Amino acid sequence: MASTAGPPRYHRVPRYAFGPKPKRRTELGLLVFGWVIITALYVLASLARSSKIPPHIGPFLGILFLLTIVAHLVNRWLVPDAHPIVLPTVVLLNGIGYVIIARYDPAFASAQAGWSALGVLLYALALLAIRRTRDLDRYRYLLLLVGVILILLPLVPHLGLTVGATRLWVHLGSLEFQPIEVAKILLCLFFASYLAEKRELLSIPTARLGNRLVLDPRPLVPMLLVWGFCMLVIAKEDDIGFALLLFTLFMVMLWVATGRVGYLVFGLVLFALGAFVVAHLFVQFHERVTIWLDPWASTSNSPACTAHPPRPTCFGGGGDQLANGWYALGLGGVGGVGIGLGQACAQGCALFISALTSDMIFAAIGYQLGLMGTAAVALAFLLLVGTGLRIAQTARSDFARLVAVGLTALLGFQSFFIMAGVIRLLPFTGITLPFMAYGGSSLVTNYVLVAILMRISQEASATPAELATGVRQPGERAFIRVG
Amino acid sequence: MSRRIRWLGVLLIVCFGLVIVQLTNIQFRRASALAHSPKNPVNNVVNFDNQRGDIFAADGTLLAQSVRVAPPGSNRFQFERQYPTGSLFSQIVGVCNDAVAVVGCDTGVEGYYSAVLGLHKQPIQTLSQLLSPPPPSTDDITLTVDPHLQQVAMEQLANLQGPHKDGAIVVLDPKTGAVLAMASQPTYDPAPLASPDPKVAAAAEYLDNLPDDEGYKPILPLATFYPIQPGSTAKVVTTAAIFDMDPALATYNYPVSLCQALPDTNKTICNDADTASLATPCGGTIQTMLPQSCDPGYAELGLLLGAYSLSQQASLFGFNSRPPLDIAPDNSTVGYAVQPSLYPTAQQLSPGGNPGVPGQAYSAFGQQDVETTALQNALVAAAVANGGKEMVPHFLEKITDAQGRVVETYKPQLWRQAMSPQAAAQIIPLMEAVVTSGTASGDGFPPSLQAAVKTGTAQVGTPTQSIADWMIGFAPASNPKIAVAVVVPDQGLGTYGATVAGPIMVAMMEAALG
Repeated sequence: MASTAGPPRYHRVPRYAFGPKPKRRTELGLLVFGWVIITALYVLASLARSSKIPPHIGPFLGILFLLTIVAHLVNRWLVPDAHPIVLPTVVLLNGIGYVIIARYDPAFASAQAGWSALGVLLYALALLAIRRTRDLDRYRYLLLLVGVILILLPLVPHLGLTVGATRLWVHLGSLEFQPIEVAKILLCLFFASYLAEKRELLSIPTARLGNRLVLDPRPLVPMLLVWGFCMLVIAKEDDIGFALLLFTLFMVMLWVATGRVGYLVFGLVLFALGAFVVAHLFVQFHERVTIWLDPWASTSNSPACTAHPPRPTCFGGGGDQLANGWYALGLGGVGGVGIGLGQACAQGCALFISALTSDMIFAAIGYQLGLMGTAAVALAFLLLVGTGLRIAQTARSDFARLVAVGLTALLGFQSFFIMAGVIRLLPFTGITLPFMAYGGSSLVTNYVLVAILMRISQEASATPAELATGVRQPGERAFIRVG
Repeated sequence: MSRRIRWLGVLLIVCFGLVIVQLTNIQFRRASALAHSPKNPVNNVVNFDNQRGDIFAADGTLLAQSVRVAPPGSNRFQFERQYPTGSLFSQIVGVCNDAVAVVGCDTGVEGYYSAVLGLHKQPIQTLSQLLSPPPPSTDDITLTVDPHLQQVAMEQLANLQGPHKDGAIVVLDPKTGAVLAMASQPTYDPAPLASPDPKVAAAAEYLDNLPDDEGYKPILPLATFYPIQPGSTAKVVTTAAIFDMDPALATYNYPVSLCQALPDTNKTICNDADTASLATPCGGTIQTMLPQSCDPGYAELGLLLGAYSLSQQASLFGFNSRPPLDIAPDNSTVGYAVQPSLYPTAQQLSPGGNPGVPGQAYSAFGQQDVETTALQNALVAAAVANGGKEMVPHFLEKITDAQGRVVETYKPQLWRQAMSPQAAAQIIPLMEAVVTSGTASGDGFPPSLQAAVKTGTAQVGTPTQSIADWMIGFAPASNPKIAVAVVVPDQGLGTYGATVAGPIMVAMMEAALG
């Protein structure tokens, strides 16, 4: 056929010609799946309690659809090629957590919905603000400064607030939040930035000791200082959970960046020393370990507590929380007592579990949904962690890669520590279960955390130009075309 | 770096794997143990909403009710149990005290129907209830007891002459087994036992478990818990054995004599006395020996019947079995409130057994090794009255729910076919003759009652220490409406069933039928 005159005609490029899968369509499908599960649980919880369709089903569905669709559209707009299962998993966890909160602490449910909305808003804003991961690298010391200030905030008189034994809260007017939740991300960014720059220096022996070359300890000093300072401050605030989390974060990032086993050994020695010091520094430490080993020795009906006056080992009936959580998990069994059913409560009943909707929400899930529920939640977190590590593997720069590793480690170890604490694998540390537990600071911060992961994932995906040419931007890791 | 990220992934997989392993340990392997652990607070919940249903007598008299003493939802016991009729029905109704564990709820009808009277799930009746099950509520119970008869029975026991006033009266409907009255002395006041004050309740619990001078505990009905030698009332059992198992003996003519020598021993049995010098002569066929209550003659009949027939007939009447009366079987301190009556087995009555062959003679007229409760003896009379059919004795008439609808009506059940209808029909005229021409002829039974009775004067101890005075019977003989057993143990020598228990029997029959 003879070509005719006129402007050249271009082939219409099929929309998804470049990627193997339409990622956002996958995400939408998974979101719909999540809606079904969450809505079913919400309706069943109400049916079981009052045999009525929940009165707020309209607003509930509205908010659920609105928030997830907004997040999904933001993804389509800002990170179209990012990993598709992060958002659905987060929505599922957040939704199940909400149903449990609405069941046990209805007064907090609307607040939690509000925090979710704020979380999605900040998720969008974070994606808008952080257009390139490497922008974050530029503000290394600013981020550090803000992080340190945030960690110090609770110690400021009139601003700090002691909840339980832990001085971890800050209140501005009626608004209270845990600044350390934000600080954990900032510290992670600082560590990543610093390690990305200094990792060669930290991993190759350059200093001379006699006639041997050893690792130069000097580049480590600023990090150790920052870390040690944070630990001291947190010790002052008496929050053993975050101390453990930040210690783990530091060790993981140092090891992943340098690959020196010596750091791990050094870290373990540090940990042993730290544990010794901690036993004296942290008021809660001895109590927590004692309760962890035998919660039944300090339940409110134990001999220690029923004596007049109660013996010091009673800890104010501190064993109730873990012992009752333990029984709630046992009562839940494999299938659970059924969502909305059962005798457990947050206070004022025989099987009361304090902080049932925050620190102990995992026990509530195990009680309501059984082993199937807890295992599903644990696997959902593992899925999130696995995805985070995949994103880290594909990240284009050392900085982005370390950020992804750090954020994923935060998410993974935080959820592990609190789950393990509830089931008494580890001493109970009062940190929140990400996305599920009641608490604004944690929820909002973790949405931002996920936003950064999504940004890194988006950058990691190949652009059409790259796919065509196999070339990446200058300064970035060599692009390897798979398949 | 990517290798180390993989290792980090492995580490986290191990961590989460450990979580799932521990979860499986708690929620699967140990789930059942944890759920049922006595330390599990769910298993130690004190239910303060201790409401129970009402208990009524047959005529609607309120016997027990729960009265609210604290508002709903409060953390102390919200109801107190009250017993308006006091000690009149205490041994039948029993006492429930949820607030005081020492008393608990394991006596009487209260204990037996605890689940019915206590809060329990209501059956789902409509489709909408399937979605919202009704809250648990209680059922009410109506008993077969007649407060008037019970009152008369208690008064009769209270009016006993002499120092020992313990005794028991059981009135049954022979056709259904319904217990119309069951009075025992001693008895107790339920009010202090039902007290929410643990000190008051515990003191009452202690006192009510103390045996009185004659050895009977007030908390336990004498009528059902204490078997007593039945004396000549056991001749009804022997007579039934004669008609059903060896009819030839019905015409056996025992020569008139004072005493009967026993084989394998140097003992003799004399009529109505320990020695021949005090005895009165008697004899003839059972037609004359039952009304006269001839001990030597029945001793001889017992020996002729033999071990197997005697013990077999006693088992048919329910001896050596626990009558299935619906009062709580389990009293926390003493065990079953309803005790079986005792009759030697065929083996025990055979040569070489204990008491051996002489026991056949003693058992045939109800002494030595035979012991029966008033309830069992009333059942014997009722079986004769009801053509040999011994009905299950029971207190329950009907169960009604909170809205007053009848949930369940008691259906009479046969407990035992104690004898053939022919045998029963032949015994009835013999027992009528006891009133008209026999041992009870001096008791003044109005002829209109058509009473048929058997007296019993058991000589307890060798030599005789005390007399247990009995009378069992039923009326009217042509169409029996009540069967009664009266026992007054621990009476002095020289008293007779006819003189001590007889007037009570007349009063009971007149109260029921007059």
